[in-house]
Amino acid sequence: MTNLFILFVAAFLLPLMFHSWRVAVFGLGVQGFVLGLILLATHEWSLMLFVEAGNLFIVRAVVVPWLLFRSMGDVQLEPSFSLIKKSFSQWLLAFIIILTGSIFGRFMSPDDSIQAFQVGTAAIAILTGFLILANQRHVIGQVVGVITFEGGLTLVELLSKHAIPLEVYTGISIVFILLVLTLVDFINKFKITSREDDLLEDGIVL
Amino acid sequence: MIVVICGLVPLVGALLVLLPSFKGRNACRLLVLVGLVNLVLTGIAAIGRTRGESEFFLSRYFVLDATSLLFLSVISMVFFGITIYIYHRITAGLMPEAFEGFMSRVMAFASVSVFSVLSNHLIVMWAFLELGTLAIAPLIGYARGKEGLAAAWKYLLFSIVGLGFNFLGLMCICRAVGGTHDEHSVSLFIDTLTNITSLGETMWWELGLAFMVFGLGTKLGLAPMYAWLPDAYDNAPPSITALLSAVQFNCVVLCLFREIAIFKSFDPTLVSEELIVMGVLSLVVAAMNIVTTDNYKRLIAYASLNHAGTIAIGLGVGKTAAYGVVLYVVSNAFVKALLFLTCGNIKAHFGTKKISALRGIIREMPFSGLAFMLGVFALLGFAPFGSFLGEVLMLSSMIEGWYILLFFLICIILTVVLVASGRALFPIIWGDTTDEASKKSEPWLSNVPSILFIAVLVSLGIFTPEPVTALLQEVATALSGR
Repeated sequence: MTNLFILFVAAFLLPLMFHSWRVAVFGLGVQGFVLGLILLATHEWSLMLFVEAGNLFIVRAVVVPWLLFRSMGDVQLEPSFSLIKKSFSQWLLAFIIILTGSIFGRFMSPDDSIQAFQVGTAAIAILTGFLILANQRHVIGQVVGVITFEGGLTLVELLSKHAIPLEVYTGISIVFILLVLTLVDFINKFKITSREDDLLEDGIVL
Repeated sequence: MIVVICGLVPLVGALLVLLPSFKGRNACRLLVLVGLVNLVLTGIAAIGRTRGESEFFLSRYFVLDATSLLFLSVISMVFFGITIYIYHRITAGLMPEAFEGFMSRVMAFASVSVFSVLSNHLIVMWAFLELGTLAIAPLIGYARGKEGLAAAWKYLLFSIVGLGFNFLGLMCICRAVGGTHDEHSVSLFIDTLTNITSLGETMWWELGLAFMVFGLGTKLGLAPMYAWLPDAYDNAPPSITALLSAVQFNCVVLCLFREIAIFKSFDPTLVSEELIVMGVLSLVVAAMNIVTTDNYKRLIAYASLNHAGTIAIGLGVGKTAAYGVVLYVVSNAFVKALLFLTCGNIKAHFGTKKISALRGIIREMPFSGLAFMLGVFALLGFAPFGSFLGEVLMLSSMIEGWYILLFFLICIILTVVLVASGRALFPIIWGDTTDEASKKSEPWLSNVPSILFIAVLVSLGIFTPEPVTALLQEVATALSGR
């Protein structure tokens, strides 16, 4: 079980070290897949689990990366693209986030080290998503930040013992799919705008 | 069940408008018809409702109680006014061709807004707020070029993060209860939650509560997460700005009302302090930007931020301010809708949003000038509008609750806002023009929404019918919590 959480952390931290949006998007797929495995490891079989697993294994692990790859097409952002700036301060900030996440986990679950690690993982995912969002000028990078942030929320949801009614969970899944479609729609609009002008006035670039 | 139909009507309209038979003027007529049917159904639901009772629908996921009825009435009236405005813009050729997609999204947005207001389940309400965001985000940049696109993108990202924090807060609350009772699962049905006596692990629900308030604060545009608001309000077409500021804003306020009513009794100090800090910060940010901006639409956007801050402070002050907050929220929905739609008329006529380029609009556009003037008076909290009464009630509650320092601070900031807004906006209305101003006739249709909104605003300040007063009081009582 702990290995799955380590794998999840790796899925969103490793892409920070590459200068490639493709690796970042691939990382999102891995995050979705690992979340699915965590679901299977923590919940008993039921219709609800079937729907949740479908959402994680199909939508998050496959459909989201596929949609993003398809909309980005052969856009070349390397070597300027990086999820976080390659500077000492940013790496220090990333390190502080990991440290904060682990301290937060211990603070919230002082008596249970496994639970503390799980909570810490979710906190690190959410904060990393935030860090990417704050750093990014690239639209695709911001999308990666948003979905990493959402991945952290999903992990919190998986860890909570609350059983969301099936119809409500189905609604949440539909909202997530529509969110991704909207993000992809925006990427396409930015692509059209970028053909006319490489740099938007706001400083956002494709 | 009528209110559920009220939510379904715009959804059906959103689908119908995409059919080939609903092109051009037919699409416009359909939009106005949907707005009208929505308003009539809301009226029927209001008449049929028994005072003090709640009616549940669709496995208790939706409810018609005083709070949902009040907000449903507000958004139905505002939406109807906006549909007429859009009809005018299209028939006057002020919108680009192929607007069916635009209309479909507007109606879809209205539908999810109605359902979010009626929701009796916190996650369902969250889902409808998120759907509303997804429906309206592309419209912010509609035919507005790269600046509009960037503003829409910023709005979308901030909204996702804000609603994400709200969801995180809900999950923390679930975890708090689950952690104590192991297999026990907390119900997120609002009517059940109002009867809950313990929330389990203190740390988890305190964290949850803080996240929920912060998340909704972001969606309302409260500082420190306000950066999306001025850009989105300024760049969006006037009808969309009105939908954002009067419809979506109120849906989020309703969500905040519900959550505060449920959870505040567990730790009143935590919520109060967070709300007051966010509120005061928002007032300061709004005041600083109002002083410096040279764009009247952006100025009104910052005034909206000022209003959001005032509402947050009112909610933070607590029980005694509840009636004032409710009155203020309702009034401001109409003030903002009135002002943003009038801004659209002014921009269409003069072709500029610069404050320094406009003088004496009341001479050239008598009706829009008058509507703008009344809107500015209501915006600044002048008597006899409802916003004046709401503000006075909130300020007096601060004195009653011994928030003396806060009272003086707010009085100072509101004075700065009043002077800065007046200095910028009054010359636009009455200032001397260098050219000979020629009075031009304005299309009557463009003024229908303004007449509707002004009538409601004046009525809220001077003569509020007894059923409306009773409804406002019922909502204020519910907001006060247990």
